[in-house]
Amino acid sequence: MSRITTAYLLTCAAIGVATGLLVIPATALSTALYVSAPPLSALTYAAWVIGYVLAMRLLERPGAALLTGLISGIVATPLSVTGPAIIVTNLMFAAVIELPFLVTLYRRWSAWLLYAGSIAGAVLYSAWTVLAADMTAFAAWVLVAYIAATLLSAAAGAWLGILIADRLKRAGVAKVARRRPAVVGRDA
Amino acid sequence: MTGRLTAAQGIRAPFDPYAGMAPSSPARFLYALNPLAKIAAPLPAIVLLVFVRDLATPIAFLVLSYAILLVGVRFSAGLAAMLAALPVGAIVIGVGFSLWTDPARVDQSVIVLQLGSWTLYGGALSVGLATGARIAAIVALTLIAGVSTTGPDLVRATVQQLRVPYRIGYTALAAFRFVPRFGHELDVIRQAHRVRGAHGGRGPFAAIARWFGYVVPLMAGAIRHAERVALAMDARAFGAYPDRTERHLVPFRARDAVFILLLWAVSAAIFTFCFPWGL
Amino acid sequence: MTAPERDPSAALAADRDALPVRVRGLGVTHDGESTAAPASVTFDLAPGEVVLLLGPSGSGKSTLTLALNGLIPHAVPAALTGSVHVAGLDTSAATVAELSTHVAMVFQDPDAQLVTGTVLDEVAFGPENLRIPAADVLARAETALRRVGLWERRSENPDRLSGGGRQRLAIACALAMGSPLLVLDEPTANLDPAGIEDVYEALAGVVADGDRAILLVEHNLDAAVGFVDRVVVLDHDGCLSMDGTVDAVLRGRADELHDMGVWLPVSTLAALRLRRAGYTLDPLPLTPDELRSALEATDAPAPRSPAVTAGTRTAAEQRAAHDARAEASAPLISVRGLTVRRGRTEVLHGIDLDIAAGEFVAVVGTNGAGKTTLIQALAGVVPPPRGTVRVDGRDVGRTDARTLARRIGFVFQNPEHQFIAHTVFDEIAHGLRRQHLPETEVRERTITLLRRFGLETRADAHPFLLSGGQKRRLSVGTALVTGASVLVLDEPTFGQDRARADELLGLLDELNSEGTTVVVVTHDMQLVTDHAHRTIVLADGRVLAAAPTSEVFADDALIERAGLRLPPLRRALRGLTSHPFLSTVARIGDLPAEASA
Ligand SMILES: Nc1ncnc2c1ncn2[C@@H]1O[C@H](COP(=O)(O)OP(=O)(O)OP(=O)(O)O)[C@@H](O)[C@H]1O
Ligand SMILES: Nc1ncnc2c1ncn2[C@@H]1O[C@H](COP(=O)(O)OP(=O)(O)OP(=O)(O)O)[C@@H](O)[C@H]1O
Ligand SMILES: [Mg+2]
Ligand SMILES: [Mg+2]
Repeated sequence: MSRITTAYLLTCAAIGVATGLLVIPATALSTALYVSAPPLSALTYAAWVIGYVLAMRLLERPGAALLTGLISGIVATPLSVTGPAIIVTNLMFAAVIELPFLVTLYRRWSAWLLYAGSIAGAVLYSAWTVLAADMTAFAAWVLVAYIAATLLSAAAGAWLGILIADRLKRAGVAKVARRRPAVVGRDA
Repeated sequence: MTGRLTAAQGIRAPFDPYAGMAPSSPARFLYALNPLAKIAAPLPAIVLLVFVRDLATPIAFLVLSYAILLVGVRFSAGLAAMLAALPVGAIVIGVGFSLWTDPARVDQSVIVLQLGSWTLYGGALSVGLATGARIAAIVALTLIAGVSTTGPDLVRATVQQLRVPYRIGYTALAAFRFVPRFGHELDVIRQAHRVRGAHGGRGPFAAIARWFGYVVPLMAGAIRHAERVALAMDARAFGAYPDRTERHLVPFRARDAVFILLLWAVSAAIFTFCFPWGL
Repeated sequence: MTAPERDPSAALAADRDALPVRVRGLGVTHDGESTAAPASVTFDLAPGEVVLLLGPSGSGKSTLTLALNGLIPHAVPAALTGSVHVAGLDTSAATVAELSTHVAMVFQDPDAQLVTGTVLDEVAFGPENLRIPAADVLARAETALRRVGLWERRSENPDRLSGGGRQRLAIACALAMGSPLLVLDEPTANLDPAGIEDVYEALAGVVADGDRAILLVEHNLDAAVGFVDRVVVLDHDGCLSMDGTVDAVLRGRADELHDMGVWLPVSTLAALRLRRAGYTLDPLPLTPDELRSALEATDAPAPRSPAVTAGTRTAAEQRAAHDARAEASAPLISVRGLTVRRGRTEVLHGIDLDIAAGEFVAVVGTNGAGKTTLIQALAGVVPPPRGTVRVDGRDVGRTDARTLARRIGFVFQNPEHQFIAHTVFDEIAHGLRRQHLPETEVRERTITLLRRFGLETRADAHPFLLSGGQKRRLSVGTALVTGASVLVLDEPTFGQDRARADELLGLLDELNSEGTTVVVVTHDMQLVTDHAHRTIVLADGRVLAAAPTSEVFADDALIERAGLRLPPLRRALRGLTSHPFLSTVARIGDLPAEASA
């Protein structure tokens, strides 16, 4: 049997659905805020962080964030104004969370890797929106506030994701899909 | 218990993610196309639109996608509302955006509004409206796939044409069932916590604490349910072989290729004609 | 009793070499647990045999079923000792997919077994995974769906089926796998009486065809016992304690099973009690029909002991006295013209009701009748329209949830939904701390309550890590700790085994006798007759009847109209000609007790 068990896939799907349901209102809110108060719209960035951080922290398995991103995108598709594009968006956000773990070859599972991924994602994201949404036309202080808010939101999202994951672990949730130290030892 | 859950689901989920599209006249051609074709065809235009700054190009694409939608899918009140909301949204975004632009960097030849020392220049408004139109055009283009494709068909197409492993595809299919379940569970948890008098107070902080309290039972229930579904799927040989019998084929036919090429050609024509990157 | 279409001896004599299942010294320890459950189990299953697996809660029945098709150890993290061979394959070496063609499973929760969007796709899902050609998949699906009576509904979304219908669908899915062994783990735990009948009709059809062995785990034996060939029993420690025919185990060792805490058919329990009262009931009856004919064929213990009738009269008198008390005092809860809408539909239509202080009231009705909606309105969980519900003179529609919580404790169906703290202790203490009591008093009262509910050893555990029965007791505790004088419970025995259910009901009876008013929603008609003073029958959002329980269940037409079933004991004793005095008994507790003469 392959190492990717069905329970792992479906656990990621459950987290993905939750993320999808978080991302849809967050998109609406962020659009509304973007019109009225651009720097505040960046605060919704956390919605794209919590789920993936939670998945990585809870399951401690390679690909958990990516899989969660994929499912959250697919689930959000019928409810999202941007249609299937949300799959790509969510996958990209998930990929940056996953990246630090990939770089360390999935040997370490410390919290700071999650923070690093989230912050890196926030940097990339704010660079992209500034460019794509023509925010360079904004006053300089608006831009600075916008980027700061994105970073802040990313860090807060990671913190929250870790907090929830640790609570779930204490409640004995996701035991089936979580990395079993013994198994990893045997595989190594 | 289960009876009620389902009944509630029926009410809670006005759309059935599994329902097939009702048959319609052949003129409504979008339903007969492969979902991937409907995604691929507008894709170059969507990507290029991000880098456009003028007003004409997005409006041209807005008109194009409206034409495709009005011909290609069944006309419904929902579609009408969506099509009506888009331009309104674009204008709102445009005006809102223009309030935040740096006046020093826009064309100041026209003054639209003056309130005390603050001036809304025509240049700012046109930058804003262009942004709004761009977002509206992108949304309209994605609606081509969005309103004419079912979730399961999209999943099947990704499995059959994009060679996404079917285990991931079917995980997504199973996940659609989690959505109404989540809504129902959240309702019950909220009631239960209210009865316990958890985090009663008012104000945003009490609200945050309250919502945070819902997260753990909600996720715990969802993950436990997911594990049970996984066992049931495993017990029915899910993942036995690298592929599985497919009774519902979502073929990629000549007409899909034609649709993609046509839309690419029209997109190219629009970009060439408008040439929004003023050299 | 065996289904007449089958000859059980043929099944037992069948070729022992083609044993579908051979279990040897099986022990399973879940990750994070210290003891094995099951601990050591050895048995065989022959082709075509129908076997019932019994055992107290936590003895490892579910775990055992998961080991039969390799889900343990392949999909569930657990350590396995001993061996399981299925059709010659060692389950720890073979894959779950390979084993799925030999062992098919039906689980407890029908919702957790759905993957696709239509009934037909759902049944086809398994065979498709096996790469069977599409035409054969359809043929298999058709056969399976016809056998459970769902072929006509093949294009519907499974969500539209009733609970019983979805469980029949799960059976069809298992049949479509083509495996010679069908394993069912409490397939009817979530269903109302009609749904249970539905499922057992479908199963009886499968058994009648005689081509599949069935291993059934079931707490509700009244429906299952009709077509079982053999019974395997696990004890508290998860070791095999009995293995034999229905006659040898259920009839022959019923007393032992009863002491073990394993639940028996209601008719058997009643018969055990009647035997002690001096009735000769041999062989021991297992179904209502058997009990009735056995009673018709036997004489009452002669001379009829005066103690027997006296005992019964006391119970009846007690209840009459209680009714008088209830009518004398002003109603504690009064409902007038309660109409509740959910979404666009009206769920309750102009309900009028009174509940007196100190009553034990049951609310019954089919799925969707509006039971949950009604009790949620009573307790203010979902605020009712103003002026429609009064509790203790207070308008529930105008009172905020916190104030209400002190008067009315509400216990939700799933106790986990109600937990808000991280330890059992804090869970109970929460209600007291909110009253700003001094911490020493909080401690003291919490510990007293935990001790009373048998939870003091788990005070520091996370509430989610308790067993099902413990979780339920904890949620009752949280509702009571603030001193609520009314306790409202939504399907408190749902998903619980009978021993736990009894324990909980004992607790409720005790609280009730101390003066707490208890309102319970349930599908278990025997529970209703055994415990409730009064029963409220709901159908389609209207009150069909609100009367003393004995009157309700004496009215067959009413039960019929409400879509309910008579409790097993009523079914057995009603119309009994040779013992007119027994024919009116509905509660097990009202049966003659020990013969004193
Ligand atoms: N996923 C799991 N993780 C850890 N322990 C478990 C798990 N599932 C069951 N157990 C433990 O294994 C033991 C046997 O449980 P099992 O569910 O097999 O009992 P059961 O006989 O089916 O009980 P019931 O009648 O309540 O269904 C119990 O002590 C239980 O706590
Ligand atoms: N949140 C809701 N929104 C809309 N309709 C609802 C909602 N909750 C329940 N209903 C409908 O109200 C009716 C009564 O539901 P209720 O839950 O009170 O039934 P019940 O008697 O408790 O059934 P069960 O035995 O299945 O628990 C059902 O037909 C159900 O579909
Ligand atoms: Mg069990
Ligand atoms: Mg209910």
